This record gives sequence, C-alpha cells and structure tokens, in this order.
Amino acid sequence: MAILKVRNLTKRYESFTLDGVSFDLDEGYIMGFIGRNGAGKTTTLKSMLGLVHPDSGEVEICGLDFKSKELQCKREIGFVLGGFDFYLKRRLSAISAVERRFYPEWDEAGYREYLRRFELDENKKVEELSEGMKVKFSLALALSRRARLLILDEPTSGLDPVSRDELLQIFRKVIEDGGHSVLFSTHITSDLEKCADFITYIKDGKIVKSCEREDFIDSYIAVSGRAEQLDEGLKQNLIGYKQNAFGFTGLALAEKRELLSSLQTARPDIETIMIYSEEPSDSEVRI
Amino acid sequence: MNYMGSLLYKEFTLARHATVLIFPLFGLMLLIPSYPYTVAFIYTCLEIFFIFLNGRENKDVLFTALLPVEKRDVVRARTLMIVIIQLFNILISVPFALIGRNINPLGENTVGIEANAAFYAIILIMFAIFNALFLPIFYKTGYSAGRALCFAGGAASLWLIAAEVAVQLIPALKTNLDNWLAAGRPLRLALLGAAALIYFAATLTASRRAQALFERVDL
Repeated sequence: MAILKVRNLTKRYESFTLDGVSFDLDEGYIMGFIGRNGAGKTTTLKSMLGLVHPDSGEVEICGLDFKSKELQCKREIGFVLGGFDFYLKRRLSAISAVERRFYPEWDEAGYREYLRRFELDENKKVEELSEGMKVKFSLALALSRRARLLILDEPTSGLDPVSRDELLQIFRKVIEDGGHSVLFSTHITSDLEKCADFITYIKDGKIVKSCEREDFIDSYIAVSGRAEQLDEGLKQNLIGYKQNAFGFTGLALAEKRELLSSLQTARPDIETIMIYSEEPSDSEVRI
Repeated sequence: MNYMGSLLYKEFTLARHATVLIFPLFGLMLLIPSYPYTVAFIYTCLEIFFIFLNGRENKDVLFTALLPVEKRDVVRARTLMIVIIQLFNILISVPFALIGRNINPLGENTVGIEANAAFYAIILIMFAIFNALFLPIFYKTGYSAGRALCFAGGAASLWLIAAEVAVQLIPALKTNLDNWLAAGRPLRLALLGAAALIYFAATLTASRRAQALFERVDL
C-alpha cells in the first residue's frame, strides 16, 4: 500500500517552476530523493506538507488527502528540515518537553535511547550543538514520534561518515517492521547506494525518473572510448560526455546499448548518472 | 483543538519573551499619584511586539507549523496568548488602581484620566485597535513585526491621545468619566462592557483575517 502519493505537484516562481511532480512510496521502503542544489527537492517536500502552497497537485499520506486532513496527515509524519535551527538559546530539554505534548504515541524510552546513542546532552542549548549534532537532535525527535512516514530534507549533509552510516542503519531499522517508510532528500549519492530501495530523481523542477534503485541504475550505461570515436552521431546518442586527454567518457540510456557496441561499457554508479545528466554539454576536461 | 493547551504551553515556555514576566509589574505605575496611567499599557503592546520579534529570531512560525497542528492554529494560539497577556496585565493592575485611588495625597489624577472603569474601557479599545492591525499585518508575511508595530502601535497611540484629550476637554465626558463619583458609574461600567465586546470582536475578526492571510504564506 502506498504510504505517500504525490500527484502533479506544481508551483510556479518567477525564476523556477516545480513542474508536475508525481511519485509514490510504498509502506516498508526507503526512497532517496536526489537532485542537485536548487533542483526543487526542498520545494517539493515543503509543498507536500503545505508549508509552501502548490498551485496545483494532490498529496495523499496513508490514504488521506493532505489538504482536507492536514492534522491527521501531520501526525503520521516525522519531518526533519535539515538540522535543528529553532530556539538556539533554549535547552534541548525545553524543546523536547514541548514536542512530546503533541504526539500521543511519543516513545520516551526510545527518545532517551537516541539521546544516549547520539551522545546528546539535554542540558545543552541548541546553539552549543555542532551542525551534525543538530541533525541528530532533529532525528531523535522525529524518530521518537513513532511516525509512519519519515520525511527528511538532507539529513546527512552535515554528518561525518561514521554518523552518516549510523543514520542509514537507523533508517533500515525504522522500516524493518514493514509499516514504516522513509523519504530523504540528499545529494550525497553514496547514501543512496547504501540504503535506498527506490530513487526519485528531480532535475530543474521535473521528475526525471522514480523507480527501484537497481532499475534506476540499470536504465543507464556508462561508456568510454577514444577521442576519434566521439563523432556527431555518437554525441546525439549520449546523455552527456566529457573529453579528456585519453579520449572521452559518457552516459547513455541502456536502451541504446546496441548503438554503442563499439565502445567500452560499464554499469554506472548514481553519481555518474547525476553528473552526466546535469552537465550534458561538452565541458572539456584538460589534464 | 484539544492540542491548543499544548500550543499555549509552547507559547509560554519557548516563545515567551522575558518581558512577559516583567511588564505586568508596570501595573504598579497606577500607584503613582498623578500620571498618564494609559502609558502602563503601552508597554503591554511593546511586550507583544517583543514576542513576535523573539519568535522571528527563533523561527517560531516554522517550528510551530511543523508540529501536528493545522497551519491556522499557529495564528490561533498566538492570538490566545496575546489575549491572555493583555487581560492578565489589566487584572494585575486593578488592585493597584484601587489602592492608588485611596492613597493619592492629591485626591485626584492631575495629568490624565482616573484609573476607573472608563479608563479600562479606553485601554481595551487601544488593545482592540492594536490587535486589529498587528495580527493581519504580521501574518500577511509571517515576519513583518516592525511594520506591524508601526501601524498598530501608531494607531493605538493616536487613540490614547484622542481619548485622553476628549475626556479632558469635553465637559460631559470630564464630568462623568474622569472621577469615581457614583453618578457616572453606570455610564463608566456600560462603556467598559461595550469596550470589552469591541475588544473581543475586533481581536477575533483580526485573528480570522490573519489566519486566512497566513494560510497563503509560503514558509
């Protein structure tokens, strides 16, 4: 069953348009929401939660229409907007005292456990936390709400590699029972390779692809060849390419594999897919 | 709406400004033998402005909107907080008004209206004007605290000046309103009742307007 359905979410700004964003997330899965800075990740997440008003589109959470059932929907969501950037002069205990009042299902034992595991001292003020610790505090709050859907906007960007890995393990643990799901935006593609079941890729406000991670990767091939092989005909079959002193490397849709048989091909990683999709023009790399 | 208590808890623990604890004591000003007592309640308006300023500094609007509440509850809770503060500051001042009247060696307030029922009617109307302007102006953007203070504070101050001048210059008002005599008491109490009605009606209307405006704000 879909825990989250997004349909044709559209928001027009003067210089940017979120254009008909649609995707689904089923119960029991982790979805990575990727795109470069300014692609529309945060606008999508904020539009989904009514913080930004979409011009059109529908969002369903646990089968409920967000617009008409805002309150019920919000109770099912643990939303983390980057690190914790509120009430910097207040102690963590004062913040959690407020939070726990709003969630009847608040897991106090779980919250204490997260504080211990993240080495968070509740007597500290928010401003005394490092950026990474602020993210961890946000997470401790969100996880303790026992929300069915965790939505996190770039939760890993301020964390060290060990904490990032720890966080991704927590995501896996959260969905273990099959009743919970995680949607997290990131531009750190290695996070996705470690834990995302699905990938939704947004570029210039439009969804390029939303599917299972392996299908996402398998729908592209990485190619490389000698400089003289890169003629105009080949360029048209590539999503993107980069020239260097030894020849060129590029990316193509897997369905064009037969047209590229003279080149060396390989399975790309997500970072490669993003880089070539975002910069398809001939940006020459000189070594 | 059963979470309104939790929202108020948030307002008075996280969102309050230190002046919420200090400015009610300005009711002590009503003990001063001769003083324009209305000044004591201009501080209440400042106190509310400080709460909004403090809120903006701490991204209170976004923090609250992220809680499992409807977006309009952000405005509802803040309105309730304002009403509680305004009425609390009035209530705290009432004993001082009564004591001040009895210990005033001059026998009367020589520089403004007596702190009687008519005086509190003037204060309630001032709060009504302040709320009517401050709430919609602030919540139209979710951050325009300075602009809201300029208009709301300016209009509230003009009302105070107009009301004080009218009471001093218009004989019928001076006779009935600027004293503690029994003859004018029914009129003063009627004015207080009417002012209370205007206060609640204006605040409720302003809050609804602010909720509708805030609903359209992108956070």
